Amino acid sequence: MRIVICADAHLDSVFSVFKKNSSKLSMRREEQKRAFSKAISEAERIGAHMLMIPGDLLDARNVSKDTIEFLKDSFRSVPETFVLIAPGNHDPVTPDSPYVTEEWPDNVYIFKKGLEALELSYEDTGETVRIYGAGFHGHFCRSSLLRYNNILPILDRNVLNLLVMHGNITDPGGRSDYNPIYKDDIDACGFDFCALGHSHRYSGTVRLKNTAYVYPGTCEGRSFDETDTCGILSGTVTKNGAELDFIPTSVRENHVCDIDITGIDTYAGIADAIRSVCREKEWLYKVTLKGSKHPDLHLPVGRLAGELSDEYFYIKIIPDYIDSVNITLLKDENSLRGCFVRSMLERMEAASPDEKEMYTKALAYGLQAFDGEVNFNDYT
Amino acid sequence: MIIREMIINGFGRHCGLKLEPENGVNVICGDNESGKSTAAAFIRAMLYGLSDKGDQSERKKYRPWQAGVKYGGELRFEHRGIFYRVTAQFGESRNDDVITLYNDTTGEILPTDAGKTVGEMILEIPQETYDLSVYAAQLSSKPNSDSGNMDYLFDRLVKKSDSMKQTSSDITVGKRIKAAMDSISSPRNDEGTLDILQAKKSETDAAVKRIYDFETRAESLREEHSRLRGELDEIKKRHTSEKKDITRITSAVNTIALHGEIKEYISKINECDEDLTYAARRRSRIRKPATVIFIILILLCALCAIAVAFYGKLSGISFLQGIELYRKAAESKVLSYITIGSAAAATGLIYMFVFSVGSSDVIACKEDMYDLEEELCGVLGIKYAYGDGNHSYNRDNINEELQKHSREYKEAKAYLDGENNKDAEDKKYMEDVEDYTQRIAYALASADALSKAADETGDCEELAERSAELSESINIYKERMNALRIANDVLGEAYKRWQADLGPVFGNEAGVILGKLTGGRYNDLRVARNFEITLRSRSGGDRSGDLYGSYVYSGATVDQMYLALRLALVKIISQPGGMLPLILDDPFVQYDMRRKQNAYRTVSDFTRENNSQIIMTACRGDSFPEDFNVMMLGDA
Repeated sequence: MRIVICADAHLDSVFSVFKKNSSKLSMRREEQKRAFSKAISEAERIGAHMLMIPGDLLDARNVSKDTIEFLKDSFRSVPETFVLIAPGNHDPVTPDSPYVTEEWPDNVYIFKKGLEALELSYEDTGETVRIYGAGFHGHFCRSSLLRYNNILPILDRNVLNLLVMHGNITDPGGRSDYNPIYKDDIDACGFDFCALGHSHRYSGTVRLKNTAYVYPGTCEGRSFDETDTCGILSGTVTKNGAELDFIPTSVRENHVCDIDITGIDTYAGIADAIRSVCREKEWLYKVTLKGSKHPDLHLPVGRLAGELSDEYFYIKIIPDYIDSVNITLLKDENSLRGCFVRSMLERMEAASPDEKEMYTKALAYGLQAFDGEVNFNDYT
Repeated sequence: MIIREMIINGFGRHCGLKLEPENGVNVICGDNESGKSTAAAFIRAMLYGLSDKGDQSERKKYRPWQAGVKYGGELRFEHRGIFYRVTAQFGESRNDDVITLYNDTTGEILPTDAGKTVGEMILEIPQETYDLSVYAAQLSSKPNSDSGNMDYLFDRLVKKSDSMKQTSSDITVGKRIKAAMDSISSPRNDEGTLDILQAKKSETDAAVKRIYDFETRAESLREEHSRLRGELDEIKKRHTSEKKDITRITSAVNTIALHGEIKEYISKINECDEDLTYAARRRSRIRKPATVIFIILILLCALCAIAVAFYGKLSGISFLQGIELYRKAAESKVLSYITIGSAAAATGLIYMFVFSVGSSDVIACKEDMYDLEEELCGVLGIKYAYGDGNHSYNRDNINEELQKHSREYKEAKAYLDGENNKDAEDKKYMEDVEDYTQRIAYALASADALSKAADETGDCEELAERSAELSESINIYKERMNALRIANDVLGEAYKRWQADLGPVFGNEAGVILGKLTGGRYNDLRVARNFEITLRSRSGGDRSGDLYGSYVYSGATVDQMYLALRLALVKIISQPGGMLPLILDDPFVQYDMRRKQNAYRTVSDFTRENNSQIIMTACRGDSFPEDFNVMMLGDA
């Protein structure tokens, strides 16, 4: 059975970093669609029997008409592929959900009720497949959708049993607000394979005693906690197991970088250090400047971010460095500042290791106050 | 700071003037009105700009005398190992001034902080401190106040050290720390960053909680919806399995209806029975006596006939011969026989009439009864054989059929009673269905409304992430606040220490310098806790050995004291490796020759000991030590 799994596409996402930049917001939304289109292309390429979409295809119920038409056209373009959608917590089946209000192509099935089973027979493989699925009806689902009246389904082991569902893999006794899929349960049921959605990180195929599951992760990263390469899965699944390849689909990647600025004594040097780490101009970067700032270095982080914003699609700079100070010279200074340093050093000496960091900051702030306004170097 | 080069393009009377001071003592020498003070003021203008205040503002005062000359120049200096170059072109106001600071080694333009002058950035002292320590204008060693309150000036000198600007007992550093704390959290207006973050977090958490509440209630309602649908399905299933048997109902209804009819018939038949019984009894009441009479009469007739027949033959009826009628009858036997026969016939007729009268009622009753029975049999669906002879048979059949009907009736009644109960159940079923349908619709609609309300509030995961980010930021700001509080505490402690130390430090340092300046005459300069200055006279006179306030001494001595204080102050407030210079405009104008020589020696020693620079102005004609770098304004 040739399958493609694409999860958590979150089409029409909000992209809060581009709230005030409508053109980039539109671009990112188009890029999400392009990433999703790769799943369609892959399904066409391998002649997939099924395209499994375990939830959060849409970021919200009120997606644009264009997006709905895009999806319908995409699904129509692969008429030989059966598209299975299990609505998730972001796109639950509610009366005003497009899953209910729209007419979808014939090759699309959306799990709108509780646990259902769909049986398909394929002449080319001679296989009968039973696909189980369920959809969210609200943003939360605290009881397991796999259980109907607290009873697990009993599977016919003579057919290929697959599960497509959105939820949290949970250890026995655990709890989740988003459809706890207990490991014990799927193992007890003995699905041949489970295509799951909700976690945005690719999990790899996880094998349990009697079953296996996978989270493909999202197909296009939306924020800086989705920095791994995003993609879809494509391959085959049989009674003997699943062989799936991870296919990257990210149009634009998110990256988090730490840069140590210790020893860099010019503004241009800092900018160059950032450029040397952040090589791809079309990506999104969150850069944290760490280490010690040279005492003679004047570093207006806001201005730096502003200048680099013209070079990168998106860059955010977070100052997390400390101002280095030559305490040895200062403590001997015959001045109020010197007196301040000496008093602070006395306190630091008597402080516990946990308090020392606080005193270090207090010293830095006090010395800043001697020079001028106390600046926290926050990026705004 | 060591000034290396001064290039004046246009500043006051100077145009195209270049001076190259060196380490140590430098003297800008010239005649009166040669621009010595102007050259000293140029240094100040390059470091701190020109003031625009008043009609006699510096900007106006130092505008180039020559037309077409650029107002400004260049200053090269070295400070803490770095060579700097400042170029200035002054305009009509501060906003028009173009002042550029270069790293003179690399040529790189050094960015300047907004609102800060070169002096504030590089020397790290504000203009007021420069004016009170580094730069002494001509004849300004004394304070400008009318009272000549040197204590006040000294207080300002001391308290102006270390970049402090204040007009009160609060120090600027402390104010800056307080300002930073207020920017984080202000008890007065909740507009600090931390206050705003906490408010945002509260708002975000409240939104998350609202969403959770909405969705939890929505989920409960959806569960209830499922449960209600399940129950309704069960009710419907049960109801469906209990279908009405219309045929049987119809049959039962018919049986009930029939029963009524039968009852009517039975009632009528019973009436007929009663009538018949009554008629029969009445007949019987008539017939009995009539029969008796008839028999008696017939016997009588018979007797009469016998008597007539046996006239005179029977001794037993011989007594009748006495009866005239008997004799007559016996005489005409035939007539008597006819008469007796007629009488007997008449009696018979009468009897028959009476007999029939009784019987007609009975017959009528019977006929009625038979008719009713026949109709009843028709209703019961059984055969009826009309006639008295079949009455028992008919009755037996009817009774048998009635028993059967009675059973059927009871069953039908019971069945219909049951069906009537079912009607009540049906009614309840319909009511239940309606109730469940309403509750199901309500549950679903409410769940959807709550989900929509949750949607409108926001995305729960995104809000939770934002709340976590806000928590992180809040923690960061709380740490900063703690650190600032510590800095504030330590500053307060340091200030107390500094105040406690300052007097003796100043006093000791200034005392040593004053001793050198005065040839040992005054070296015991006391700076009290309130910075009041006292001097102890060492030699001769009434004042020998006593401490007196500075006001009792001569102007020259006061000048010497202030010079000593300036030198001590500059030494104390300079940062390590970056001694501040002294720019003194004709500082020894009131000194006699001996004092001057002492002063020259003192300042020379000072610069040598502290690797510093002094630039002073002096009139042409004075003689200076060889190690002084004399720059003649005429020569430049």
